[in-house]
Amino acid sequence: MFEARLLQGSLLKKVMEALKDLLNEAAWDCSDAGIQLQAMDNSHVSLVSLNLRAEGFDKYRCDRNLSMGMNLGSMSKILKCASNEDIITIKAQDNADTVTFVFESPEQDKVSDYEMKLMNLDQEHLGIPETDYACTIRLPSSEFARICRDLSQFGESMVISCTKEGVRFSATGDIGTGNIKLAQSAKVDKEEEAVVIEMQEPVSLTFACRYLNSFTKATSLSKSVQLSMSPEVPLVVEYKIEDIGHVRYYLAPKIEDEEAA
Amino acid sequence: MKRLRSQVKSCLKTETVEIENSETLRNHHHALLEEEIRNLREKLINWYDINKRDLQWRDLAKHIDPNIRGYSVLVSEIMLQQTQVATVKSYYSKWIEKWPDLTALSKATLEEVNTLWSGLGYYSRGKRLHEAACKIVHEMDGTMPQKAEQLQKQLPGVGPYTAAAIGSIAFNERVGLVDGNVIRVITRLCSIGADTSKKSVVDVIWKLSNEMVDPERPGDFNQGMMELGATVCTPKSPLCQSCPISLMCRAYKRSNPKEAAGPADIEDVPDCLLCLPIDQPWTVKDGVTNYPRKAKKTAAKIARNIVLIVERPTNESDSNEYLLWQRPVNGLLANLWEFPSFPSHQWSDDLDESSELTAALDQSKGLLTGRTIERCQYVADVFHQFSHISQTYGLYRVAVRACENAKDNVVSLPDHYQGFRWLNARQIAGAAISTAMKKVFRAFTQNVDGSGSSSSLKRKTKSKETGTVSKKQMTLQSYFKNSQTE
Repeated sequence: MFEARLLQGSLLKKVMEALKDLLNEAAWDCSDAGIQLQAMDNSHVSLVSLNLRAEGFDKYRCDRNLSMGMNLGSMSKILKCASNEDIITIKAQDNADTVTFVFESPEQDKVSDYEMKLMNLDQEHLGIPETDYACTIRLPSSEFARICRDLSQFGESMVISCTKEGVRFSATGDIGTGNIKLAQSAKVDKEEEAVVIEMQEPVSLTFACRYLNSFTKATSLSKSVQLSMSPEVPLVVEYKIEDIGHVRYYLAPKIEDEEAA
Repeated sequence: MKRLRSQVKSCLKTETVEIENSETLRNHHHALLEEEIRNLREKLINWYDINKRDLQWRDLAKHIDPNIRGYSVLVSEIMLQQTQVATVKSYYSKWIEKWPDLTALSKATLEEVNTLWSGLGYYSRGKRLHEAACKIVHEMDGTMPQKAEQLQKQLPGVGPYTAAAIGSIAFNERVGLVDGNVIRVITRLCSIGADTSKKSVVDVIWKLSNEMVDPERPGDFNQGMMELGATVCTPKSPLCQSCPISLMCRAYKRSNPKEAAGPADIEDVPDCLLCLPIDQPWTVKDGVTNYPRKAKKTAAKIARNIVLIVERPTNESDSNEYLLWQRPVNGLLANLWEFPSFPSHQWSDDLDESSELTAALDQSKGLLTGRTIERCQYVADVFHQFSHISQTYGLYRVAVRACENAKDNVVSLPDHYQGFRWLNARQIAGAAISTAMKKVFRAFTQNVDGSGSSSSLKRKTKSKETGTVSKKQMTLQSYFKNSQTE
């Protein structure tokens, strides 16, 4: 028996928004520690890793580890039926081929439940090594979304360079060049509005804008976002999800093509 | 030097001493005592009676007509090879509804069989099942053999496992049975730490299984062992607390020395061919899951194919038709339909593939006699994991238009390929095609209908024309390794 009850149902709706742009389907792995999901997009260029800890739920029960393959399009349709204030419960039997979503209004005067068929998915699980990143950049998530949107008008890829002066995002394309520089904030009233850079060595990497834009669909989950980079490894974009967990995106860089002269 | 000599000695031993020698088995806790076996039978069957899952083929296996019993077990066991119960359920009920007995199945065409099997994988299974039905109906007067030995000898697609399953479940024959689940249960029960991918080790497990099987209810005993392996004695984090036979389990005893009964102090004997290997000893952390041991799998082969989705307009304005051909009678995905595909260089996302593409188009010219290619576009990459091949498909959309002298029947196919058809999207959904090709077609429709991807269609040519420094998009597999599954 699996049951997870979330008072703040809107969180799950936001998580869904953060996933469905990149993934058509994914396996939700449930254990007594919580819910985890790891999946790559079709092209295997980016990876989403979601972690929701058991303690973060209002009620959480998982008798036996289970992996629920879900069509995220269908799941998104179902979650659209929940209001933002609703309490959401996810339920499944141990060997079931369906999962049930229960939405309760805060006053308990309306209860709806939706049952969805599960699917069998080929599980490809990547082992992600613990990495000490050369740069970590924390910035307001809305600022990051804005930067990605603005620069993707210029080109398909964006260069992110981090030096001790600050972080620079730039893109070049047919119409010209765009550059955005952010300096480390000297003094801010609110922590989540700060730009904070921690750096061991300068890093500059190129990434495809369209994936970055998909990542920013998670903006509503968190006021700030953290980017971690090291030379020649995938970028990590992390959004914390209140007290319950996080969603992390990994994106493989674009590198110089030796064949093109 | 000393070490070397002892290795030589143990090699010699392999040749001279049969490891099935029961003396060895008794000495090193690799077998159960007679009293324990009686206890095991009773506990396991009781457990199975209470905990068995309700499955359609289990009801049919109790049918009065022996032929129906045999047939229903044959179908379910063949479907269950390499496939999960949850997946098999719906296929099984569709199958039984369509072909309720051997005679009905023998009248079906291979095409119908493949269509129903579509999506289940390992397609030769469906074909062999059909062959077996034809053989029983036409050569054996419609009566199924009832002994495991004959089943294995006479029926195509029936190996030792399936034969034992049919014999014991449908015909109450007293034979043991070994599948992946049973291997796990028995290696733990008898602390067998040798490499279970070796035939000699599996032979020992068969022997043990034959000794253990219940003489009165062999079918339920065997199903109980498999069910226990599937639900309790699982590969990772087994539920020993709810296991009915943990008290006689050597692995349980070893990880919980105080609780369990049975022989004390299980230790690995250096020269024993069934104990854990000395260089990979017992670890406390892994407990019961120290068993079974398996030699490391060889990495899956990586392959990349170019897939041409050849599209032609039809008279009804809104639906296009696509060209599919039928694969050879033998080999991977035998007899299934697919979009013309051609091997390309190894998997890497954005390398220039134009020479391979030209070659592929050249080869498919024979297919397209009398048609002109209007355009050829890159659409997307699709990844599919076969059990032994990591396959990427590079999808290209090839739009063709008929010239005046187009003739549909003039077609040359690669060797052994069986035919070709033009199908629309709806027909493709119902055709006998593999999961990988279904994925391909889904990716195709998503990328072609959705407007968001038009930029990626041009990606390859564009970067060259504008002369900007072209960068290659890496994939995550260049950085992160697949963590071991299972």
